Amino acid sequence: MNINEAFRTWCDTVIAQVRFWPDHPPIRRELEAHYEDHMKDLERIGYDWELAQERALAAMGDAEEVGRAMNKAHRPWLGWLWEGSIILLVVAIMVFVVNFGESEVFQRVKNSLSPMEDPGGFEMEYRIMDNDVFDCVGNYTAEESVRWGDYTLTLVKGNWWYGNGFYRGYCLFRIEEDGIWFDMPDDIMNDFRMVSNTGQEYINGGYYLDIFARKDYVEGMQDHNFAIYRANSYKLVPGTTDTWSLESCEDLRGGYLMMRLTAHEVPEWTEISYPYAGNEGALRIYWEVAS
Amino acid sequence: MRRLNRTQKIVRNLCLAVLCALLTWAWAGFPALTRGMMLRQEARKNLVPEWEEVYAEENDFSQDSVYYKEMIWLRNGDTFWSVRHSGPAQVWEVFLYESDGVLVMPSMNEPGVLLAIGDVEAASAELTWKLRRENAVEWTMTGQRVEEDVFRFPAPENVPTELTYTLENMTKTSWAKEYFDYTLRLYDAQGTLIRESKG
Amino acid sequence: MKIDKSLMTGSTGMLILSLLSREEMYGYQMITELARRSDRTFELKEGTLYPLLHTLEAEGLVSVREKEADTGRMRKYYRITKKGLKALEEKKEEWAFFAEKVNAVLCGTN
Repeated sequence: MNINEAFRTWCDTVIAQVRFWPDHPPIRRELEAHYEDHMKDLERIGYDWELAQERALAAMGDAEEVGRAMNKAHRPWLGWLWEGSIILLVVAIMVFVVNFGESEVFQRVKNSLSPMEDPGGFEMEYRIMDNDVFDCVGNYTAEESVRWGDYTLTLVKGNWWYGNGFYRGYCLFRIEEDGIWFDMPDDIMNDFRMVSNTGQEYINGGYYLDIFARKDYVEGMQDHNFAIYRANSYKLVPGTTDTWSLESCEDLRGGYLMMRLTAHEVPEWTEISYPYAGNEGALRIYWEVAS
Repeated sequence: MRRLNRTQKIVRNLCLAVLCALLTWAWAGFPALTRGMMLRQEARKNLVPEWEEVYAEENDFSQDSVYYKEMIWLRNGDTFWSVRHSGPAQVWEVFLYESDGVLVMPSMNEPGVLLAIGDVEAASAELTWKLRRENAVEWTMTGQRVEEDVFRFPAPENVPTELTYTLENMTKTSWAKEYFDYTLRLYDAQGTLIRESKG
Repeated sequence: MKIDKSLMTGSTGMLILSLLSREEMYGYQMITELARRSDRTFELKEGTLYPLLHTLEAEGLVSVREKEADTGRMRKYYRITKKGLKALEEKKEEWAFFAEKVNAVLCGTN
């Protein structure tokens, strides 16, 4: 069934008035269908093709007027906004769902709901790990703390042990971060400094520092050293007696840190500081040697 | 629930979408969205209360398997810190250094090139340096001022092959400073030595 | 009772709804039916029918579905909805009331 140019032009004019372009094709199709129906009807009655076209076209009315009315019926902004808002919502929900399971934050919120008790028994842990007989010679237990920026570092407990010709100290710290969504970076722990009452510097054997590559390295410097790491990253080493492990204890605002010191003697006190950017304050720990 | 008309539904959808986006952002740990946000977050994490940006190098192509977009050096008095990142939410490393006001560091982009960053208020600069290895050669390079606080020292020529690897890898670790010893001499316009810095 | 002018130019909308209340129809069919029943009094400009139908659809008074016609084209068939039936009733009442009052005035002045 062929539709002549005149009608096509008429349709174009109508459609040109409709701002919401996604609806242009269906409108055109419906108008053309109507026109064809009328044409067929006229031809059935006996009109010839050309006359039928003219009459059918005339019956359609003024293109611009029809177009304007059509535009009012196809509100563009509402339609677009409606579809856009649905798509946006669906996408936003999908993105959220995808990220939901992998959230660290989720774990921490969960942990903070049942906060960890003092992870006792950590003396045993090191005894087992070292596989040697160590004797406990000193200890310190108190809630001393220092505050650097958003972090509060608190000493929970500490012990000194002696064996194999040297002394080993173990401390448990609690770290609290004010910015609840971030952890104190490990690199900060690697930058802690420690001195004792005699002025003896303890080398921080953090993950990335190569003691021996230091410009000021002297022989024996490494004998007095310490290392700090997140308690929950500590893995159990099976030993001769009962085994246990330190559970993941990071919650919303903190976690536990373990520190291990090595020295030739038990100092009267040791002090931890963080030297950069004018950060003041230090955590001083006083040790008592058991008699 | 009373029935909402279309406009109200649209507003409701948009609000829910924004809420979802915010929740997702929070859930992911509030990753930084802009460079400024990133620097503020890193400063806070690394206990740097105030800071100013001194120099930044941008990288256009990938090295190794990691794409570095930018290396930024910042300072707070005598403490320098650097941020190597590929976007506000992709920080690879943050390192802190103590210095006497001038930091001599390898360039991220150009193996063998050293930069003096910080209090380099001088008309010209000369850097003598050598790698901390046995039988290392000592080089002396004259600096080109690239920015107000930054001098660039070109890479030495005719470098023995066994040292090129070291030079290239100097950028990769914070302890790059430990790879070499240096003496930096700063001169004024008349050529008088105004400052010497060693490291 | 207020007369709602925004939906129909005159009473065309009501007439269309009335047609559709009995059966499902497509555009051209409505034109011919309307002309037939009104003894050719209501001969709508055919083009203006479709904006009206689309408006009715947007307001939920009619619903649309496509069926294939014998010419091979897809035709859109319109049918009235429950909401449309209710609206039709209201408009009929409106119309009856209007007519009654007009008559009252006219008769009164006689």
